[in-house]
Amino acid sequence: MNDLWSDLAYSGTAEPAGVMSEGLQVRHLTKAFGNRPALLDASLRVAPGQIVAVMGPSGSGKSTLLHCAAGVLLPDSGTVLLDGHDLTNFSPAQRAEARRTTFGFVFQFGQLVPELTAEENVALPLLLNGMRRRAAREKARRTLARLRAEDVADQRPAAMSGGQAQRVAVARALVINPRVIFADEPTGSLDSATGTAVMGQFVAAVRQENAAMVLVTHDRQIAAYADRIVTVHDGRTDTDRDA
Amino acid sequence: MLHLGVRLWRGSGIPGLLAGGLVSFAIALGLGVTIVCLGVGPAIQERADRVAWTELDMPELSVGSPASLTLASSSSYVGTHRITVMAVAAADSEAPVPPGIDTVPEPGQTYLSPGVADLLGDTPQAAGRFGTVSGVIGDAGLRGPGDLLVVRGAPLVQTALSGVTVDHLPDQGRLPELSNVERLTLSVGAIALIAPVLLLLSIAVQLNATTRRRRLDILDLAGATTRQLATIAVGEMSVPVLVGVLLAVPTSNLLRRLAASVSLDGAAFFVDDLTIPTPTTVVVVAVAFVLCLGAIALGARAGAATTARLTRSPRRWVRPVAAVVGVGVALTAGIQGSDTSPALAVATFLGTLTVLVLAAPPLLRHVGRALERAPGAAALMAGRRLGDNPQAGVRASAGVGLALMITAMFAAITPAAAATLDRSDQVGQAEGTAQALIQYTSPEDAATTADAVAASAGISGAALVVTAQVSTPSGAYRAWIGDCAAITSLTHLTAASCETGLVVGRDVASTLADPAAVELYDLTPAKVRAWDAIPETTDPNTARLRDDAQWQVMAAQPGIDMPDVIIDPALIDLDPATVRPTLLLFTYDSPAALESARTLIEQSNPEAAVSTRATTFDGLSLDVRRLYTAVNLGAATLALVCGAALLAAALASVIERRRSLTTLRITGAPLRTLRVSILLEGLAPLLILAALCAAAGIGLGILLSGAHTFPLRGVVIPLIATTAAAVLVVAASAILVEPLTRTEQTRIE
Repeated sequence: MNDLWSDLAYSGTAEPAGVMSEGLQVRHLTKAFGNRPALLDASLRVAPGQIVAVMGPSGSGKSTLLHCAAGVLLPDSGTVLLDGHDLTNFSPAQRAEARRTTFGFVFQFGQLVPELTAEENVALPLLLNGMRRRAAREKARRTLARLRAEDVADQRPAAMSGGQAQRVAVARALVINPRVIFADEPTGSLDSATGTAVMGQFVAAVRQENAAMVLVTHDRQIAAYADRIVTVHDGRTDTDRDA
Repeated sequence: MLHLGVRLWRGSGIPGLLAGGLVSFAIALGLGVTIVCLGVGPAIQERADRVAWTELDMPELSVGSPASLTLASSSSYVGTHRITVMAVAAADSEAPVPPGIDTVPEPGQTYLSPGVADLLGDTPQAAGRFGTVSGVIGDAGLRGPGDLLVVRGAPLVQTALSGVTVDHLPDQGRLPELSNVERLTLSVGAIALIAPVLLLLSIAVQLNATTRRRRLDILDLAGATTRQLATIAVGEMSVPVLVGVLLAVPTSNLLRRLAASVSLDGAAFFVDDLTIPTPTTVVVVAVAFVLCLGAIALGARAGAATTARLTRSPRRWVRPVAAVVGVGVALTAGIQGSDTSPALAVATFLGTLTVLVLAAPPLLRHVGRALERAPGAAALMAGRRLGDNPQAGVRASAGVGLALMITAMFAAITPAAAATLDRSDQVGQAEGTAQALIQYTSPEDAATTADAVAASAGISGAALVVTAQVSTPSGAYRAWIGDCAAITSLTHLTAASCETGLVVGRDVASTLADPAAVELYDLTPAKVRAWDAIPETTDPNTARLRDDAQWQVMAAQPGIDMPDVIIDPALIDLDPATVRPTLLLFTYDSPAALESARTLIEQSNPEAAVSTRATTFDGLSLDVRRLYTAVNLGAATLALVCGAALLAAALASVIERRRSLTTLRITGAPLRTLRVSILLEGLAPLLILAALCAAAGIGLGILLSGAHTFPLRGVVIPLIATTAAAVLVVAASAILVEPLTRTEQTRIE
């Protein structure tokens, strides 16, 4: 159990029953941007070791749901429970710490820090968590190796192919051993073959970690990697079925 | 396309608005400075023209010619303020009238400039010095506000003694001859003002390019032609540029007021003098607008190739060669010391600046590499960026570095200037002693004046002196003929003994063999040679010492204008009644007593000039005061521009990294880490450049002033203050990390 969850006892939140015993539960979220509603009633549940794909047409609220579930955005109403703790009650600093220590993120375009090498990009979350430089780099190397990206360890993002950059982004998400991984169109910028290859390695690594994953995608082939599929339509999660 | 560009700019959000705002600010400031600078030359000529008539450099007519004006110039002082006094006498009603007044004042009447009126108002002892006040001199007769000028009506017979007679007044003045130190200040000031403005412009344009690069890339991919891209870029920039050039006019008005307060040649400027005609302003603004947009269009057309050219490092040989040249010039200046000419001083300054600009990036690259090896994610990110692009760090902090270099340089020169003043103790006129030069006063009037002064409150003694020259085999020496005991007492020549009535300096004694062989010349005859009464006499102007005269040697003693020889009148073969005194010595015990005595002397002897130690050194101290007023004002302007440049660069850094910073925030990076990273990236070059430039400035100051001491106290306070202000600006930019990377607004792309 990390410091964050210990701190939560201080804030009056109930002590979690066990590590990821309940997984991530998103209940009846609503969110509007100005007068435009993005989420009207969205719910989602993902257990440890489970991969849930979130699908839906453009503008349906998939990404907003992911952002709210990850504590990036605060919903207008509803709850986001992680091991019994409601993220919506966290302060911005606590939410940031939760994201830094508990969640991993993979974005469509990798979003690597352009000035840093692949190894440094992967080590960055560890450094942000206070790990020493040498240990962080060693762990980053190992994680890159797991994703067969060790050959680009010393390269900067500008010198990498899309697939290589995305592997590095996945390594960055996995390096902290997250309990939940949020992936927003992780292969959206890759060709089909590369996307499939990256996704295969990604899912294997996630399953190896027994982490939960929320995967936002348009692609049915990618969604097929998930255990369950949640469909979002006009801000409502109206379907929850097996993949 | 233009319309699309404008729409793109409007939709570019906070970063686009910030970048546009900075472009507007940079253009407004740069163009504002240009407009003010365009007005400086004409302003200097304009004010010189207004006071051309006081220069007395005119073809002369016979005194009393019809429709003529006779005028004479003298100086008066209140404290250390030097007042130009013009005595005027009209031959008839057709005589030309000096500018700024309605009529030529009658004898006893006077016109005062507002500055003199204020000064006399604050000094009751000087209130009636110039006669009955008839009016105030208008701006048309003054160099600038605060100009100290008196136009005094005087009898023709008196004015003619030292004056000139003219039938018209000149309207074309001579430009002032600037002192070396003023030339240096103006040259360095010009560099100091232009350099940061150019830096600010470059940073602002770079920031704007950063914010629109992505959009233009997309349009490029969408098939827009180079010409269309250039047009869109012009459209995007047209609003900020237009706002900038329009704001340049009010900005120039503000800067003009600041520039007008700078004293040049002893007077500030009228704001109107610095104002260029409206049509010229309109043309300048229009040309600037077109040039800016043209440059943007060219830049957009040149595209990445231009960027690559601009960011390419100088050739390998450039740095060492520039360093050698810079060091060479600095050494040359060092060898010449305080005798360095302004041109060489400016060359040294520019050489040093060039060396710094070339040396700083490699140094910062090493610092960046060292920083990235330090613990923590913030150090890694900041160090990497600094190491990759040290030029950006130099560009951001160069303005502050320049300000520090100039501040340190002048702060280092100050103690040397003060030391010069201290050295004046060795030659300076003694404190509390005044010398009144009364060249055009009869012996009787001089005696009356001396008695009146001696009886005045706060005056402890007065003595009249006849001046002459002593010829010796090795040259001429100055002699004072008068009461030896009184002279040595009033001038505090305590080491001199008057037992024999003849005192000579040690240098003179070594060249005088026999007192009988000593000849005195240049004595002033008793009769005052008025223009209408030049006598046909053989007035004596030479004399000899008596054969039995014996001198005593005077030990070397501090004291300016002290005579080389003091002679009791009884020791010369001349009737004292045939010569007249031209010097009145007196001692005073307070500034008020001095002013009262001055008023007494100048009322009865209008062309007298009363000097004290303070006024003798007035030139130097005024120079120093003027210099530092200008430096302070320049430093304030510079600080404003540098602060803006620094803020712009810091903002550019945040905006450039907005996407990766936002991603880091989404993944949970603490805001503090991101802020520390921004701070490190901004502060490392700032502090390094500050240290380098301060050291260079101190070195330059010491070299140029010929001083050999390290002026720690004078330098530390301005350096700390400037650096602290710059650090605060960088710290303020770190605060912007939060609003610019707010995840709820930016969301995951």
